[in-house]
Amino acid sequence: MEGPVIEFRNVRKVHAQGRRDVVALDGVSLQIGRREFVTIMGPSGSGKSTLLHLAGGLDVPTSGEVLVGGNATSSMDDTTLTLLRRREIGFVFQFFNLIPSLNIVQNASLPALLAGRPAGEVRDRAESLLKTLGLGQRMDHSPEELSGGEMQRVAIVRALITDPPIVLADEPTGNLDTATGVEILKILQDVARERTVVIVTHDDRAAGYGTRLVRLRDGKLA
Amino acid sequence: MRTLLKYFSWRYLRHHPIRVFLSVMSVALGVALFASIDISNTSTEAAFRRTVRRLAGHAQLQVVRAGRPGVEQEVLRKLEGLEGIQAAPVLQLSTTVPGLKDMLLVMGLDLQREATVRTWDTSQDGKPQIYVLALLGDAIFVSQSFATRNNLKLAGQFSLNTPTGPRKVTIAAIFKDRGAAQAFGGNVAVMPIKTAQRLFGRGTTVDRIDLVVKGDVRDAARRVAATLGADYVVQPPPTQNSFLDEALTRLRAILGVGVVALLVGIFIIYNSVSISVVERVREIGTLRAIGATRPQIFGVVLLEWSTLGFLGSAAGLGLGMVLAKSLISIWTKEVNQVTMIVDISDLAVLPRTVAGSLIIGTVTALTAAYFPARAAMSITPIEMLRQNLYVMTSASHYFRSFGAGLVSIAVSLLLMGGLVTFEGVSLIASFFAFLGAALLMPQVTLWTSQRTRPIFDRLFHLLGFLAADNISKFPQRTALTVVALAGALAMMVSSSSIVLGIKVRSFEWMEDAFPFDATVSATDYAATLYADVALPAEVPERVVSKPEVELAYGVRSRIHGFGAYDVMIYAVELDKYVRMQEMRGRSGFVPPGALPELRAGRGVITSFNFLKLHKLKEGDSLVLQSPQGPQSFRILGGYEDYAWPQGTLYLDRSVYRERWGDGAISYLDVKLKKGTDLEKWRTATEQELRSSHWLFVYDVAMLKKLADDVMDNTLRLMNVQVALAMVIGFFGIVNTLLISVLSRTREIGLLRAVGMTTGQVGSMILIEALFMAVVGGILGIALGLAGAKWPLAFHVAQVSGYWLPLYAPWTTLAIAFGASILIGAVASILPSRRAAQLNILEAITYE
Repeated sequence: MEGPVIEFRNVRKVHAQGRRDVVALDGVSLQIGRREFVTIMGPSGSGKSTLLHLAGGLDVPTSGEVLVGGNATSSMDDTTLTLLRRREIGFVFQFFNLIPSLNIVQNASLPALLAGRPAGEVRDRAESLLKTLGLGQRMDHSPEELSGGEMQRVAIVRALITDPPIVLADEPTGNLDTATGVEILKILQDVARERTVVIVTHDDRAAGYGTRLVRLRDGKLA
Repeated sequence: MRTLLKYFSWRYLRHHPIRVFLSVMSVALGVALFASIDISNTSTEAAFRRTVRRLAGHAQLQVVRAGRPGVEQEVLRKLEGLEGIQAAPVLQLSTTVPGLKDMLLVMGLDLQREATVRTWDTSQDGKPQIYVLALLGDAIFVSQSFATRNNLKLAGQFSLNTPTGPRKVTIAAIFKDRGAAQAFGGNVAVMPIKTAQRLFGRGTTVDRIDLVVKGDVRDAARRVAATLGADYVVQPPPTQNSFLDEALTRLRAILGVGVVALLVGIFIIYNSVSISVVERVREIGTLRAIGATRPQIFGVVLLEWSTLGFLGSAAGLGLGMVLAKSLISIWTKEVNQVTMIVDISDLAVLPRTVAGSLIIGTVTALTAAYFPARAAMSITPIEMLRQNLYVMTSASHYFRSFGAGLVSIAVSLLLMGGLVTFEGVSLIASFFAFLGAALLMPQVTLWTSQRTRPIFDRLFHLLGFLAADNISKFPQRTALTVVALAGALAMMVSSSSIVLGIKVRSFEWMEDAFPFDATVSATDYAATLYADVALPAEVPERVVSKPEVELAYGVRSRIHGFGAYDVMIYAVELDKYVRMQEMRGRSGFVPPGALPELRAGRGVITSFNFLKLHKLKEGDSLVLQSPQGPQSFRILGGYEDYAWPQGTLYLDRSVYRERWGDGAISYLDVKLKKGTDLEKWRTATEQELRSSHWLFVYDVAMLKKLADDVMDNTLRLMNVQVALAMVIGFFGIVNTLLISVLSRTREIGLLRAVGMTTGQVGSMILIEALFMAVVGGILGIALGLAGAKWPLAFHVAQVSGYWLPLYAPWTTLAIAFGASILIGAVASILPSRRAAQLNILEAITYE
C-alpha cells in the first residue's frame, strides 16, 4: 500500500507578530494520499494558508514534522526545499502572481526553464497545456491583457508544467467572479484525476468538487 | 511637521540604514572632492603669501633687476643717500645637503643691515649665542628645527652642495624657529653675504634689495625708481608667482571630478527618494486621508533628504580636509621641484569653504529629492485603498531626454570649439558632455537592452532573459548608474591618455632634440628640475679634452620674465649643436637656413607652446629685456619642445654672452666617439669630477626616466581623485541593484516559490550588474578617449600651449575595463544576499 503523499505529524507553527507570538497551527496531524482532492476550509486566521505553505515547502514547522513524499521538510536546506517545489509541487496563488513583462507562454514555462529543461520542449508543452485550457488564441499576450479567469488558468498551467505529483492552490477562486470560479474548480477537478490537489478556500461550493473536506479552527483540525 | 518627522521620516530612515548610508556617502564624496580642491587652493595661496611675508620680514619694497637676475651691490650705495629708506641686500637660493632629501633655502644677508629687516633670534637665556670663530671661515646660521632634525650643534659642521662641489660650513649660530626661520619647515639657513656669493659663484651680485621704509611707501617707491632708472624694478614683495598660478590652474581643473561626483550623488538620492515614496504610499495616503496637507507631505520629504544632504556635506567637508592633505603633499612636491616657492604646513579652511561645502551638498540632495517629493505630494487617499495602482512607472521611450542630451553635447562641442574662451571653459564643456551622456543614456539603454535580450537569452537562458527584462523596465535607473561609472572610468582613461601623450611627445622631442650621449650638469635633477647654477669655469675644457669625447657644446639656461610668464632661454653653442645633429642626419630645433640669422643675433627659435601662449607666429618679432636694453628678435621658426611649460626660446650662446654679459655654462652636452662604453665613461667622469666639484653626468636614458617620474607624480594626483569617483560609481551600482531587488520583491518571491534557487537569484542580479559594468566600461573608455581628445586637450593647450594628439593608453584601458567588471561583480554581492534572504511568503504578498 502506498504511503501518504503529504503528511503532517503533530505540527505546530508559531509566527512572531511584533512582540506577540501567534500560534497558527497547534498540533495538527493529517495525511493526504495520492490523487486526493482535498479542500481545506475555515474562518480567517484558522491556519489554512499556513498549512498549505508548510505542505508546499514554503515554510517549515516550529515543531512536529511535515513530510512530502516521505521526506521531512524541516531537515531540508533551502536548496533542497527549492528543488522540492520545482519538481514535486505546483503552486496556484490567489492573486495569480504572473510576471507582467512576460507573455503567458513564458510565464507558464518558468518552473521548467528554471529546472534547465530544453527551451523548445518546454515551450511546446506550455503551448499544449494552454490550448487545453482554452488559451490557444492568447499565446503572445501579456497578463495585463487577460481576464482574471484567464490569468488563473495560466497560473494552473505554470503549476503543471513540470508534471508535479502535487498541486497546491491558495484561494484559487478568491479573486474571481462566481462563474469563473466554477470554471477554475472544474479545471482543478480534472487535474486531480492525475495528481494530488489541495486547495484552501472560503468558497463553500469548492467542497463539492473535492474528495475530502478538512476544516480548521484556531489552528486545530475541527 | 515635527510629528511627521518623528513618526513618518525617522522611523523609515532608521529601518533603511544602507540606503541612508549610500545617499549620505554619495553626497559626502562629491562634497569632499570640491572641498579638497578649494582647501588645497586656499592653503597654497595662503602658504605662499605667508612664506613671502616671513622671508620679506619688515620690508615693504624690493628692488630687482629688470629683465635679468642679479642686482649689483653698487645699487646699495645709491640707495643709502635716500631719506627714510633702509636697504638690505639678499641673495636667496635653494640647494641640497648631501644625505638629506629636503632642499635648504640659503639666504645670503648683510648681517649688519639685516637687523632692521628680519629678526633672527639666536639668544639663549637672554644672551645671543654666536660661535664667532666660524665667521672667519664659511659660516652658516641654521634654524633650531633644522639643527635638531640633523643632530647639529653650535660650532658643528656639515656639507652644503655648491656649484664648486660640496663645501664644509660651520654653524655660527642657531636661531629660534620664529619669523623667517619658520619658512619651509625650518629648512632655512643664513650666510654672510660675501660667503654666499663666493660659495655659489655670484660674484658681487645679489638677487634683490629689501627696503624698509619710514613714511609713505608709494612715495619711497617713486624716489627709488627715479634714482635707479629703468634697469631696476621697485615692487612690493610678490603676492603671485607664475609657476604657482599655472600649477593652481591645473589643480582647479580637477574640479571636473567633483562635478561628476555630485551629479552621481543626485542620481543616487533621486532613486532612493523615489523608492521611499513608493514604499510609503499607504502611509502617505493615510496621512492625507486624516488631514495632512500636500505642502506638509512635500515639505517633510524634502526636509528628510536635505537633512541627509547636510549630514553628507558635513562628512564631506571632513573627508575633504583629509584628502586636501594628501593632494597638497603630492602636488607641492611637483611644484617645488621647479623652484622652492611654497611650504604648506597648515590647511587654510575658510568660512566660505565650510559654507560652500554645506550648501553644495544640501542643495544637491534637495535637487534630487524635488521631483519624488512632488510625486509624494500628489498621492491621494483613494490610491492607498486600491492595490497596485501606485507603482513606479516606466516609459516606453525617452526621446525628449535623448533630444536634450544631444543639445547638451552640442553645447559642449561648441564650447570646446572655441566659441568662447575663459579659464574653466573646458571644465564647463566637460560638465555639459557628462550631462548630455546622462540624458542620452536612458533611451540608449532601452535600445541596447532590447537588442541584447536575444544575446542574454542565448548566453544565460532564463536568467539572462529576466535580467535583460528588468533592465529594459527601468532604463533610466540603469542608465544613470552606467553614466556614473562611465564618468569615473572616463576620468581615469582621459588623464592617463593626456599623461601618455605628454610622455610620448616628450620622448619624441628628446629623441630629436638630444643629439648627445651624455650631459654634464651642476643640477641634481632628482631633487629639482631647475636650479640657477653654472658649471665651474674649468670643467667644460676638462671634459672636452678627454680622449673619448668626439664633440661637445655648452648651454646656458636661465629663466626670464616675458609678459605674464617666466620663459626659459637656452643659449646654445649652435655651430657645434648643428654639427652634432648633422652627424645623425637631423637638424633638431634649427631649421635649415636659420643658422646664420641665429648666429648674427637677429633671430630666435621658439617652442610651439610659446607661440600659442603668446599668440605669436613665425616671422613675428619679440623683445627681450637685457642689461643693454631691449633686444628685438625675429621668430625664425617654431619647434615642438616640452622642456618648459611656459615656453622656451633658443638663441646662440655668443649672442647671449654679448648682450646679457653672462658667459657661464649651465650644462655641457657631450658626444662620445664610436665604440666608447657610455656607462663606463659616465660613471668614471662623474667620479672624477666629484673629487673637486659637486656635478652630475646623465645619459639620455636617465633624463627620460626623470621626465617619466615627474609625469607619474602628476598622474598620482589625478588617480586620488579618480579612485574616489570610482567609489561613487560603485555606490551607484549597489544602490541601483538594491532598489531593483526591492522593486522586484514580489517577482523574486514568486520565482523562489516556483523553484528558483538563491544561487540562480544571485546569478540573475550578477548578470544585471555586469550589464551595467560592461556598458559603463565601454562608455567610460569611449568618453575618456573623447575627453582626452577634446576638453582636456583643449584645457592643456589653454594652460601650457601644448596641443597633444590622442594616445590610447592600452594598459589603462584594460585596467579600466577590468575594474569596471570587478566593481559590477562586487557591487552585486550585497543585493544578491538581500534577494536571497527575502522571506518567500512575505515577498509574494509584498506590494
